[in-house]
Amino acid sequence: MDLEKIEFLPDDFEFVGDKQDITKDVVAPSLPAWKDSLNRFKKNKGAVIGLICILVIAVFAIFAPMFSSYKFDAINTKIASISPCAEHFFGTDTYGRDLFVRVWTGTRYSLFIAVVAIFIDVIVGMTYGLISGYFGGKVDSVMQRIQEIINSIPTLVILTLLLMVMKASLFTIIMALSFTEWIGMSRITRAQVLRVKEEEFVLASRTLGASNLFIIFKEILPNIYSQMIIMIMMSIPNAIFYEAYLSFVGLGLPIPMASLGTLINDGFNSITIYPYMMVIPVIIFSILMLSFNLFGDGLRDALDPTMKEM
Amino acid sequence: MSNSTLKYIGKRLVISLITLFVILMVLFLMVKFLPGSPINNEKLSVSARAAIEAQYGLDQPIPVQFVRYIQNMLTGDFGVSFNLYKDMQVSSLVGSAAKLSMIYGLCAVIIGTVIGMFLGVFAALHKNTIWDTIATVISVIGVSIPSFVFAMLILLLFASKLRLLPTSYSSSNAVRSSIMPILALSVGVIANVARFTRTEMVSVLTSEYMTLAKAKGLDRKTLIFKHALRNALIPVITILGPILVNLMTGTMVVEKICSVPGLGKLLINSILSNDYNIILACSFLYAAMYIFMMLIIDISYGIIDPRIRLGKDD
Amino acid sequence: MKKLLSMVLCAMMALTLAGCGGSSDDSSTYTYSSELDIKNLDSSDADDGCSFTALHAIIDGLMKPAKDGTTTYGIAKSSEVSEDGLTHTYKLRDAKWSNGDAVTANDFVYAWQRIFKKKGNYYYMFCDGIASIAGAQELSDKIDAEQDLTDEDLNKLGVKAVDDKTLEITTTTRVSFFDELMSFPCFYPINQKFCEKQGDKYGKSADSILGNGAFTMTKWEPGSVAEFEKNDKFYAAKDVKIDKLVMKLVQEPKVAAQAFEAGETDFAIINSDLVDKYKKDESFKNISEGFLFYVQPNLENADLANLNVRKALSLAINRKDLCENVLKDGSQAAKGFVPSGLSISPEGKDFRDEAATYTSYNKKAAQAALDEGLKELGKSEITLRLTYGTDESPMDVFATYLQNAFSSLKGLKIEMVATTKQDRIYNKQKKGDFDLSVTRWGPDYGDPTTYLTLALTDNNNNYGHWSNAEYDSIMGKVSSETDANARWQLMIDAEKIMMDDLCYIPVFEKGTATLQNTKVKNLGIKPVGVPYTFEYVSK
Repeated sequence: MDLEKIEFLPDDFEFVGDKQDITKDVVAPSLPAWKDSLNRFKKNKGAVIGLICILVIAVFAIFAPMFSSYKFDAINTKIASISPCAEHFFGTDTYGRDLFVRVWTGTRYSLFIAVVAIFIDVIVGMTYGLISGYFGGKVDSVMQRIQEIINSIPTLVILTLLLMVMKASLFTIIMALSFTEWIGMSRITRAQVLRVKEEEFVLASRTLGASNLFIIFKEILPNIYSQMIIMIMMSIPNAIFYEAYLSFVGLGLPIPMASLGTLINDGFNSITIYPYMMVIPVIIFSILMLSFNLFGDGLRDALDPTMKEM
Repeated sequence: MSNSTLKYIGKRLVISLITLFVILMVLFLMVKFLPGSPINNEKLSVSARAAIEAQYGLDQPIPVQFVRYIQNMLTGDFGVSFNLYKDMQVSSLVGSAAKLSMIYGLCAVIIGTVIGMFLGVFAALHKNTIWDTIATVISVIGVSIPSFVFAMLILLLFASKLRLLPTSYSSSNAVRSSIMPILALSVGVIANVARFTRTEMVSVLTSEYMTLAKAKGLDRKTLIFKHALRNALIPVITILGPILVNLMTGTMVVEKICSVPGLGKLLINSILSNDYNIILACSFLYAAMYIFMMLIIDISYGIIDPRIRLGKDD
Repeated sequence: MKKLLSMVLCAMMALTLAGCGGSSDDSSTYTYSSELDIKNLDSSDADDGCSFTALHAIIDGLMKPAKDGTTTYGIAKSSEVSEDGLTHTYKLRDAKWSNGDAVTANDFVYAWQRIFKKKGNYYYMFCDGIASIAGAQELSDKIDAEQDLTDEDLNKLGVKAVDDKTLEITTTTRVSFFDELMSFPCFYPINQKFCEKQGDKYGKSADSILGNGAFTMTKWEPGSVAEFEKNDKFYAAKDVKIDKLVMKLVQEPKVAAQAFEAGETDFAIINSDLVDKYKKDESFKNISEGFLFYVQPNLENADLANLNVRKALSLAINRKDLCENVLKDGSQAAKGFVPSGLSISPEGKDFRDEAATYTSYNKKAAQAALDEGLKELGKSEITLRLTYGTDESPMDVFATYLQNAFSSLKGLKIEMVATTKQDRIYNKQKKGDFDLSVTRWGPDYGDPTTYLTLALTDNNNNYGHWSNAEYDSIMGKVSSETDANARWQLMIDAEKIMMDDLCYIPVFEKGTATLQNTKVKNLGIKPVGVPYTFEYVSK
């Protein structure tokens, strides 16, 4: 555009001075950090939907099997392979077991396995990361090499081999899952510890004569909580996925227990005739995975906006 | 390449090799701890089984077996299969299976990256419109749901209901029967790449140098392709690592669903039949590929942006 | 960037443009889908049905399965048994290997000695109790003692080439099912010159196997496909109706069924889940598989040593319901430990028709027996582990059903132990680390002893360690008895002893649900030895 051609007219301009009260400065009300996070979280529609889905699924998983007249492992060949109907909301499987009860029982096991495994991960990973990061030096480099090596074996390979050695059961599956997922936790912890331990407030604390334990628990840990929570939310869908994978290669929970993985695997055998046997658990599985991811994302943005889209 | 870059690569190489060796040792021990014996004919007498074990050297102490295994491995001999394909060379069995898996992985990466990029750029250019939302929803679903679910759904829809594609791999019809598994594998890649490209594009488009370029009066095409996309793409390399890792795990399950005679299926079958040598070779190959990928990615980071290296190494 | 783009575009074009594959509507090609893989084509190592099927397509033994499932002459054209039953003389016909060499008696001698030399899987078939070939037991003992076998040792094996076309075999005892045994793949001939040239590679690829049978192998990709062509040098080549045979390997039932519907295959094995869909189809056929599925109780477990507990377990299983409503593949409730259709008495009757029925379902009686057992044990509740392999279909189905049936008894708790077949047999069962194990046994030859020997005190596979002196002595008589009728009766008596004591709990005889192209005729199917014979197939 040619600037010289522009002409200014009087009504291009107006007074602003007396419309704005410059003596009053509008400042956002001061809120505690958690409330701030909560507000940010509420604004994220996906995350709220995710949270609601998780809660609904969890409620069903806990209560649906309790209130049903069917048992998840009762075989009755007279009512085998019935499509979803009013009596059997999700139909029955090839043994005549009610799938509504089975699917929710399965969801319960899947969630249980994932949550317990991640809980163990957090404890192991955090301890490892703390020790490695806090003490540094030789301890750190040895521990990091060990971790690197474990991390270099693909999770599925190590998981499969572990379960071949230990044989699948509820306990061993949880153990195997915790064995592979703690590395992420320890990495985050270590990185945070390395960052935080050089901060002035830690130095201050130390000069005041605080012990190592005190510094770790009172000064460092509170600073990594939010990151841990995010990591946990991100790891749970992983654990659910790996459990499903294990069922798929025949290393899942023993009969007649059910998890989403075993249900999908069983349903897969009948996919061409009774698609509902596979589709229903797959839908719940997918919703669960999706919800945890959305929820985790939302939580991350809410708790730690600087980490957004990393 | 500067001297320090070479030194860095050299250091990484040495560490990788050491890691590989340790992994091999760990795997070897784990395989030896697998319960049962690879000699699996229930009709053999106890002593006959012992005789066969002696023939394969399975009666030797584990360190001796390990040293012998490494010696053979260095000459390309991974031993023979014990019972899955009795007495066949593991190297040829694993070789052909790995080739197939790698082709699948590569196709999925290429297809996924291209489509994902387009999707990401498209979403970024239409930021905050319905198109952006749709693209975001698609990528969130793609990221969250594992590839085996897609494989099953594609199988149900295209092979079982519509009968458009063959249900399983067959070498006589390799290309057509590979569409399904490759498609299933690429969904995750598309989603990841799209998500990342969008974020990068958005931040590039709002950056000051883009405003400057716009102010210079460049046309839209040059702006997007020459200035924005180029800069947005470099960081995409950083997510190729996790993507490739995801793909490797994805292939294991997808191969089972679509009956592809690839590495994952071979590994699972060999584990079920205690075929020590195949288990070892497959797991080792997986680990080696993984480490190799990590190495390449690390090195390429280092070359693209030396700051990353410094930050990472110390 | 542009280069990459064009490469990707090319790749995608190639993917979408890829043409359709060939179908097997062509009447000269027979396509067979196998759930399993061909593991090996060396007759001294091959030990599974799929390998046997492929092996028999390539190689004929002295005897072979006939169209109707009986045994007929293969490479042999006539046979003679001496008065005392200890010398079998086979005259060979003018058969040729596919490279033009003549099939000689020496090819058999070489192959049989080679099994011992290689310590192949099946040398026990030559030993006492089965083929009982002279000298075999001594060789076997030497192998067991980990001694090396010299050529001199091998020459002591009771098989001689009298001349190029006459094979003389001596046995240590009369073996009534000897002819049938000769159709078992481990007794196949091997062309010495060819085999020695191939060395270790013999039988490992399509080029490293030489046959004399109806087909020659042209392609073999493990885990994927094997292809065969008609062998023009086959002695009965003019009767072979198909030119090409394709075995699709490792096809899951679901996949095979779809391939069948698409006309890509002529034969597919389907699983129980698919039966509902196809049971009204013309192409749906149930065939007998010959395997007996049973529960192996560990008699060393104090609770299971109680007969009433074992009785309760057997009575609690509704075998008919399991077979008809869950398995649905033509499996039949087992009546005893020797399956039906395995062996024919000298009078021409099936063993099962002559022996009694030892199984029934009665939940009340089961509960009563358990209560009685618990009283004898002085316990109010017992817990038993049920071990099963997750990788052996339909063991998981079987185990699921058993778990439900057993748990419905009051006072009995079942704990499931999931493992693999490998671990179940060679670790858990071998070490006695199990209470109940779901397992199966396939026949090696068409005589009841293939099952009955399992209950002998010193049998390797008697994992439950049941021991009964009377049973052992009757079985001893069975192997020495020369009168066929008396021997038959002894076997019936023996089965009664083991079944009355329920040292094994037989559950069902496995059937297989298949889809078969209705145009195809004369596919040979046999529950023992080589499962499928393609020689007579016409389309």
